[in-house]
Amino acid sequence: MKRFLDWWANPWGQPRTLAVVTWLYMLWAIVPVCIAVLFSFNDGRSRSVWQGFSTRWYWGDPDQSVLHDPALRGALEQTLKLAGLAMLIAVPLGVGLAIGLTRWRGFGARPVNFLMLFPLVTPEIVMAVSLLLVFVSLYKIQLGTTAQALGQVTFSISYVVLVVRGRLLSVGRQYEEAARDLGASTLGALRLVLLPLLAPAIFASLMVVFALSVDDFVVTDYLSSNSSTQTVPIKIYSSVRGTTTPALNALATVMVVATLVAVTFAALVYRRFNKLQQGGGGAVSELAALEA
Amino acid sequence: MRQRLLWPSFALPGAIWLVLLFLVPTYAVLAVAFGSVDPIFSNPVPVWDPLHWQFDTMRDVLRQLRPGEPFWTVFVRTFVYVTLALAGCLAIGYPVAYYLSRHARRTKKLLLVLLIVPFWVSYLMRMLAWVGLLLPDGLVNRALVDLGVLSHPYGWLDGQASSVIFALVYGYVPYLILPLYATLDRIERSVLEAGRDLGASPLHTFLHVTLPLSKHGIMAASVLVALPMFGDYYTNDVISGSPRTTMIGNQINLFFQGGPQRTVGASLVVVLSVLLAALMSYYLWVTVRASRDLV
Amino acid sequence: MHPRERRTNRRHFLVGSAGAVAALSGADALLQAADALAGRLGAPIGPGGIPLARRGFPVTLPLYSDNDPIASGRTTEKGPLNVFNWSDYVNPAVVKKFEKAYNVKVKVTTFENEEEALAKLTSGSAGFDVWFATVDYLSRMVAGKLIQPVNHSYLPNLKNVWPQLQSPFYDVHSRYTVPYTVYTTGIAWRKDKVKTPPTAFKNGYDAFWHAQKYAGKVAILDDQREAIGMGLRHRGVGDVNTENAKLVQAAANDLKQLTKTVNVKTNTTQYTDVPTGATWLGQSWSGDMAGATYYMPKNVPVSVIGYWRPAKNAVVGSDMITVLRGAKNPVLAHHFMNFLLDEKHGVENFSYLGYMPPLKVINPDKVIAQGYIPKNLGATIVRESDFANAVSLLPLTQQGQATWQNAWSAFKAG
Repeated sequence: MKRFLDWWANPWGQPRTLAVVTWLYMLWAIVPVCIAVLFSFNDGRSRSVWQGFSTRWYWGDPDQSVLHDPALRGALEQTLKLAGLAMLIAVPLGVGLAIGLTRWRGFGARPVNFLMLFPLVTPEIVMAVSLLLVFVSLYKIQLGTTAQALGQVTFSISYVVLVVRGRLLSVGRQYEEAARDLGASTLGALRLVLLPLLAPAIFASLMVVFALSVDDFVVTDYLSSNSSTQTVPIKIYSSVRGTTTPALNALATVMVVATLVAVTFAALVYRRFNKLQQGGGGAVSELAALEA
Repeated sequence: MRQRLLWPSFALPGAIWLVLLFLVPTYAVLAVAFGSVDPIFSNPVPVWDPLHWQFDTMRDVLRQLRPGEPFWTVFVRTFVYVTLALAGCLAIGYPVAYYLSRHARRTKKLLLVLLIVPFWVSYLMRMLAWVGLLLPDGLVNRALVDLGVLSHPYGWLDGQASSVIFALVYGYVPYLILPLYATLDRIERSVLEAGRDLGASPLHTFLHVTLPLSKHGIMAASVLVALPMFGDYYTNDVISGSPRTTMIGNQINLFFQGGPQRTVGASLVVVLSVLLAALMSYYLWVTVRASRDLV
Repeated sequence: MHPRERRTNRRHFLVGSAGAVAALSGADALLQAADALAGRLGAPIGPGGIPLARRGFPVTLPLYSDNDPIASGRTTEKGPLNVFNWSDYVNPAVVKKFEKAYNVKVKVTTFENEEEALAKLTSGSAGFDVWFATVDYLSRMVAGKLIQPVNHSYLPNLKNVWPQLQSPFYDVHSRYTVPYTVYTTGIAWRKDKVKTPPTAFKNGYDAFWHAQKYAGKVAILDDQREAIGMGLRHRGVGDVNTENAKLVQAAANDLKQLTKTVNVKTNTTQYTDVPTGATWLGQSWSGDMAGATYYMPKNVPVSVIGYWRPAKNAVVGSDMITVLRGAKNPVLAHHFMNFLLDEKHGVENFSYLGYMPPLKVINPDKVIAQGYIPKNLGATIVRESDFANAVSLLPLTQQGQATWQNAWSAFKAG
């Protein structure tokens, strides 16, 4: 307390208003979510009035808990299924694109780079509508899990490229060139030298795609077909204004925890291999580098 | 020769994917907007050949975009909401980004982690949190009533524009702070110290050195936030149940919910995209001009 | 929109399917005949050439030579019976009774909206026996030969149904369907909050336009047909299936007024909002309000809820049960339909659903006396006379759909 008072009284110290504003912002950004998580443990049916602690909405309640309600559990399963598919497809495509774009000196590099950046600035509804129309009118792909997965991969690729490219640029060509000098073929150098060096970035991009997929709403909704293809965001969207039970909060909490665990894991892995950048820092500077 | 083809071949699968699932769909929107409708099942029939495009639907839509017509109202309202929300985001985000990049010392790492957390919490989860708080018997109303500020609970979720703008700010500000922070972080201390050495007060340094240097970053971050906000419809659906606050995304959504007018929906998407492309071009032009000035 | 659609999936999209193609080719032979028939009757033609049903122009659904009803007197199959129904739209206890009575298993698969159901049924591989249909999709399903005509020898309980629904206007002679539920669209309100309820006005719908005091607590259904339909009824327009752009626009403009004066909300959650007090005056479906008791918060008696619909020309809806063409257990399917039409089972189903079957035995006064429906919600019960003097929301032509959608879009623009 005394340290706080001293700090407050010091006219030459760090700007106090800015510090206060920043901490208030942090509280404002995080506390409502914590309250929502708290209410998922509510004993009663209310989302706004605390009635005691209970885990009934997670597994206790035999009809309406996340574990037992087929609609909620189905949403959870569908979300994880789509996330798995997106990770499986988007990351290899994105890594290839990142490597190719960074090394490509020829004519097509700039247009492809431009093409890659476009999904990042396209509003989701534009992308969702365009995918819906093309699936129904042109490609004749049935709406449902396949369509949803295809859509999610499409906007995830660009993020993978951003994450991997940052690492690629900082690694540089020297290691591969050294390997080639020692007799490795180009592809061999790639496989034995570059990919291991890229491993943390690839891992980070896996987690980024996971987080993006799990949070996605518009594209997934537009490409869904029936109640079995509902994901957690869709469930939240359709139920939140009605009188739902805290089971909805519980469902959302499960996904949030899963995402945060995934991202934290990626950050730790990334940091262990790379002392300079931290967690989303690489992606951040790439995001800021969009202006370039 | 093989070397020349090696790197492009890495990029090829991803590039093909993007062409098939991003570029072609974009063209499909145009083909549908200027196409026709199947008379039996009301499905849109795209017209791929530009020479056969039909402009009746677009003409209709543009007619409804004139001042006073419904689409005009919605576009203007969306523009206002996005502008106000962006202002709110900047008002909150810039000081935080500034503090984080310039001043935080011991707590910097912790603050960065805290900053990133809402970034990864699902947007809808954050809206869920606020709906829970703003319910008639939610914590906000109960606190305000207990404190005597309100005599009875207020309908925050009953079609209030302020609630929608507030929710937009809450939802999008994390996407603004991170790039802003990255930009501000890159401004060299030495430049600021030079300013101070030359006799400028802290405020003066900020206004005449930091702010202009970060202008670029502000614009980039604003674009990153404003573009998706224009197409947002779920915030309005979740926070307000009223037609008073509908945004252009809601109107587009309406035409895709059924009925024979998906061509109208596609036309609205085209109009929205053109508008956003115009804004984006302006931004790019300013950027290019600025970088040329720097040289 | 069907009352059971809870804004879950709003993708009303019919992906081009085999069923669609069949609809066109199969109805070809009868197209001429249907056309002539419709021309005489004056009804608009719907997909597949079958006239769109209207109250004034009853439709006899065509029979096709390659889609015969099953023969009479067949033995019942062993099951299991595959039922495709709206979620939570049949009493599980009644289903169990059927299982016991016929010594079979019943598997109920549910759907959340009509398009989803249709997509599954037209994909062909679903394997259902019984489907709970709506008028909207009836003509398409008949044209596409996805449902089979019913054999009345297995349906003795059809006589329990109101006479006017034994041969309804949308399916004269009940060739393909039996009725399941009937419901009205009316106005629900909180008696303890609203001092100017619909019952205080000559034109009950006026209550919405005089609800300035309750701004923010007023809601209408988030469905263009129901909401604009209400606007039309408010203006005294009898034909809620009109395609007259001026009338439809005028009704939508009236609704726009509501946005300005009472900050009207649009949703389909009145079934909980009115009991909890989030909405004080809301357009709602009768079946939703009948079940209000379940949603009342503690300490609030259900007697605070009121429900009103006009005595004459109320908006009425009805659902039906059908047998699918590829059904593996068609006889069992007929028995199931018959079972639900039985007086006892029908009433038991009613007590669970809130939506009532059109059975003669259901005497509104008895139902209230026996406590199935609270007295103050007696208006949720649909009487035979209500149905006879009612209007229904029926399918429109493509042009009509565009007109209504444009009006709705203008209203939603705020």
